[in-house]
Amino acid sequence: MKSERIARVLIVLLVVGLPSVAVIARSSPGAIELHGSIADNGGWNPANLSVGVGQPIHLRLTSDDVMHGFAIGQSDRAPIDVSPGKMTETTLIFDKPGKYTFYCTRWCGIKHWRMRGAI
Amino acid sequence: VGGAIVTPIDLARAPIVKAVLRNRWPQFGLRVLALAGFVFAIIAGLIGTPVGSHNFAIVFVWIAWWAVLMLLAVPILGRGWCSICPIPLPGEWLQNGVALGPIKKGFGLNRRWPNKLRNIWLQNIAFTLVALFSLVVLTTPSVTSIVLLALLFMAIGASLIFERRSFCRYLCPVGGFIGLYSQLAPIELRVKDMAVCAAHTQKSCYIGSADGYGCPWNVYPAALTKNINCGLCLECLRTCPEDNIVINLRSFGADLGQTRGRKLDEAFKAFIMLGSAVIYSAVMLGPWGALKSAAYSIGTLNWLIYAFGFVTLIFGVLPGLFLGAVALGNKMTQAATSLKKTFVVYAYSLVPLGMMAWIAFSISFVFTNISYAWSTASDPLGAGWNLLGTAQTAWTPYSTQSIPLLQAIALLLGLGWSSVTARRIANETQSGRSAMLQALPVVGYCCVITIGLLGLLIG
Repeated sequence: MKSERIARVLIVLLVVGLPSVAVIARSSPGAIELHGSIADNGGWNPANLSVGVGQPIHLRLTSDDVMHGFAIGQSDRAPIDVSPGKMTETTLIFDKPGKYTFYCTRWCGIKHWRMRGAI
Repeated sequence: VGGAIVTPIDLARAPIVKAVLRNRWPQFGLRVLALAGFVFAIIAGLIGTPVGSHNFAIVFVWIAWWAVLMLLAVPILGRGWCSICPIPLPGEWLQNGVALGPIKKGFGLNRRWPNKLRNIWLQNIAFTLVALFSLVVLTTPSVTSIVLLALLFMAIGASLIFERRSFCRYLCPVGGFIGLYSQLAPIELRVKDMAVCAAHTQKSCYIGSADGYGCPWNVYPAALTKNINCGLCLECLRTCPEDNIVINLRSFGADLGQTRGRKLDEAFKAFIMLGSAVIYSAVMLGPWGALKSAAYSIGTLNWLIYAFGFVTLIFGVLPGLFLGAVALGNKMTQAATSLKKTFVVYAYSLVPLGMMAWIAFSISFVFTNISYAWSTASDPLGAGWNLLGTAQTAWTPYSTQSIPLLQAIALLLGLGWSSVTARRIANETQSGRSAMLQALPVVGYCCVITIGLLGLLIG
């Protein structure tokens, strides 16, 4: 009976505990995952982001299909390559309020120009 | 290779080994760890990054686990994976009422599995269904989670309705091919002395006792002649009061020499597996973008054409050509055996080539992609974590120059092994030139498949 109790505790700890820790850790605020895909398949996801003035916003960029690029209008920052199967991280800080457009810098498809989002 | 050449050696002869195997804790510990990994994979697929190469569900299920399964566990241990598989665990605990024996009052209805379904046809269908959707399953974490959840719920459902591990024996799509290829493994669980079993009236290995459960795979150990239906759960080792169970180290492929118990459902499993290895090699490793797109575009007309081609190849073309080959052998030797029986019996000679084809196929993508495991171990959800300090490890394909050589060796070994097996099967009913003529078309069939696979994998 004692060994049965130990077995049940082990099950709860490993089978329930481990995934629960992952879920809790995942739900804590962190980087935003920004996916790029050709405009016909939805473009940027999420396409609209919000952040306070002077607060950093951490982005993890990846592509769901072909090579894309990430750049922000009214910014001197160099474009970032967004590759399929790879995560590229960047942190942005905006010191003036406003609506900033981000867009794809790679000729990713026939509707490439529609691949835009806003912060 | 290919027959009972070596006298079996009982691995459990050493008291320490037997004590470890009889003790429930080592196996229980491994199974609980596997279940934790399984549940974590489901969670990772659902809440982790959709980028497959950065998600635990894809990297640790379809690359790391698959590598261990196909390159080590199945060829060496046969059903060794089934021994610690987590999928039947929750259902079995509900069925038995305990996590760690002996059985108490559980929740199951304990119905008998229907007689008409006491074969592996459902497993054949289940594997084919998963295979048809495999390109999406293998690359999309959320879909992998759905498949794993479906397997888990099917196993729980089967445990609550039917007796013992009916899911493992008759439904599991993975268990079906592990069973087929376990015939080749150099490990077997058997009884030491049949007379002892015959004299033992209680049959505690089948019924169960205070020391353990009656065979969860619904097998009477004294009747075991092949590995196919033995899940290596080790319960009979625990329940046998006569110490009459042995775990033998034997020659590779010893089961293929068993003349009894050759069945059509198992024969078709050989074609399903061989055909799937051919199709996967073409779709996943071949240069045909249109084929890849068709396999990925589920529900479209192109996918329907792909699915039709897949099913036609494994259930029609491959068995049809093989039927022609064995008919030719029958005609050349004027054998009196029925064509159906010849077809079933000789299909077992395809088992070695099938396993080697899967090994050759697995070598390429496992060696190419296993480096994703280092970064994913640190960041299993693709959430930007770096738990082990390896999150930034770059993708590095390993041994790229050796892969074609290893694949060629595997395939040629499979061809040789299958050819020897075909000849041995022919020797069961014929001798000399007649046996050679009977086996020749089957060997030719294996040569064509091998050349095709060499072309697809190595180019």
